[in-house]
Amino acid sequence: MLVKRLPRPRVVAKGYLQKRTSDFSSFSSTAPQVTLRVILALTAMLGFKSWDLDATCAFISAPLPKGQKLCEKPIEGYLLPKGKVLKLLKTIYGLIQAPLVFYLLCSKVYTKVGYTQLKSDECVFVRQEDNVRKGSKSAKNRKPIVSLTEMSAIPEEDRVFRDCIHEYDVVFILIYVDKTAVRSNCETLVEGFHAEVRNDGSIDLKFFIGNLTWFLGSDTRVMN
Amino acid sequence: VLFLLSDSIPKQGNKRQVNPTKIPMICNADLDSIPISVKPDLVYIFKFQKLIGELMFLGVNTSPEISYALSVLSRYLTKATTQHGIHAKHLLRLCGAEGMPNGLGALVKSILHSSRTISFVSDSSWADVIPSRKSINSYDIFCNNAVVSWKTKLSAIIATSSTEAELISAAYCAAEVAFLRKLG
Repeated sequence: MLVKRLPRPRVVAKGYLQKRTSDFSSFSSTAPQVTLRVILALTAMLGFKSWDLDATCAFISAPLPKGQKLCEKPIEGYLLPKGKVLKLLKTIYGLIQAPLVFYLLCSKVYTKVGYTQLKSDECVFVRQEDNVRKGSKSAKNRKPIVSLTEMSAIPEEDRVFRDCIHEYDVVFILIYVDKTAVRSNCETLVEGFHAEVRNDGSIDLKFFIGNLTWFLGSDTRVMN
Repeated sequence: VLFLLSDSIPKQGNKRQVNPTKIPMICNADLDSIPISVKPDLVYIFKFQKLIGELMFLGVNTSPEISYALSVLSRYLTKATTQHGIHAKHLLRLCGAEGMPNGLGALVKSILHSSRTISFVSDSSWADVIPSRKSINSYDIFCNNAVVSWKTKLSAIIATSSTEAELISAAYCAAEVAFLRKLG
């Protein structure tokens, strides 16, 4: 693709020259701090970890809907022959509707991978799996639970995923424009999510390895 | 959150030179009666705005305890004088106080085997903002004993009694709780 080969900072659409059409919307939902804190409050227990994922070339990976837009003005820093225009296949930085299109792509991919989008907050995706193996001892003396904080730890031989100590594997995903924050008690599921998104091919997610205490701009620490 | 404050707190070497305090604002501080100069010092106002902006990040993200002081101070963003600055710097002294070595933060405690609960506190003053006689509404919402949502706000409506002011505050709180109940 033409756009990806050029150095990234050079290819920018002049969004301010865009005409107001029906799809002229820059809305991109970001997770509010309240949601983040609620998730932290619900998952403040042993075994839960945070991950930070970042999408490379975020906006460039989102395809524009069909029938949309010739880029009428020549792109900055890129000389076109006279009378020619570029047709945009994917959104680029500077385009007014880029954040919205990317958000829609994210929610489409994450739902496809098996995550449920919350109705009360559209930036949060949840997945819950049973971690108790059928027929094991823990499955017999199980009590129904109402909330996450009631979850109890189960012995290792009864687990479906070895690295999760609780009876349910829970993954929370928060979208923050081009950032994705993950809070989960099961590393296998998170890696699975990363692999599946990568297989899907439309978003290129990268793990931020290192300081896991930084979670969407606020410092979280474990205290005894 | 330390990095945001680091260039506002006066430093000498590596040691922060602050006189720590544990209260966010001087008691009975009347910022309205501070005379506003006819010729505003634009450089000072710019610094004041920058400081309040940095503190606002703390107030919105992690520390509910400074939210009242911020709501008061941010009314003087365009007409700040050195007198207002004293109150803003008082907040910085709080950040340097003992027990808060890394700035301010909200504590999220884990309580195992407890059921999911949302509790809230709402409070209001009555007609204490002179000359407009508006009230200040505030609330804190807790989820699993961890503070999750908070707000301190100059009321948009004039309450005619303290009961009315409290009710306005409770209504704001109830709206937020309704959202959180859906979320949790």
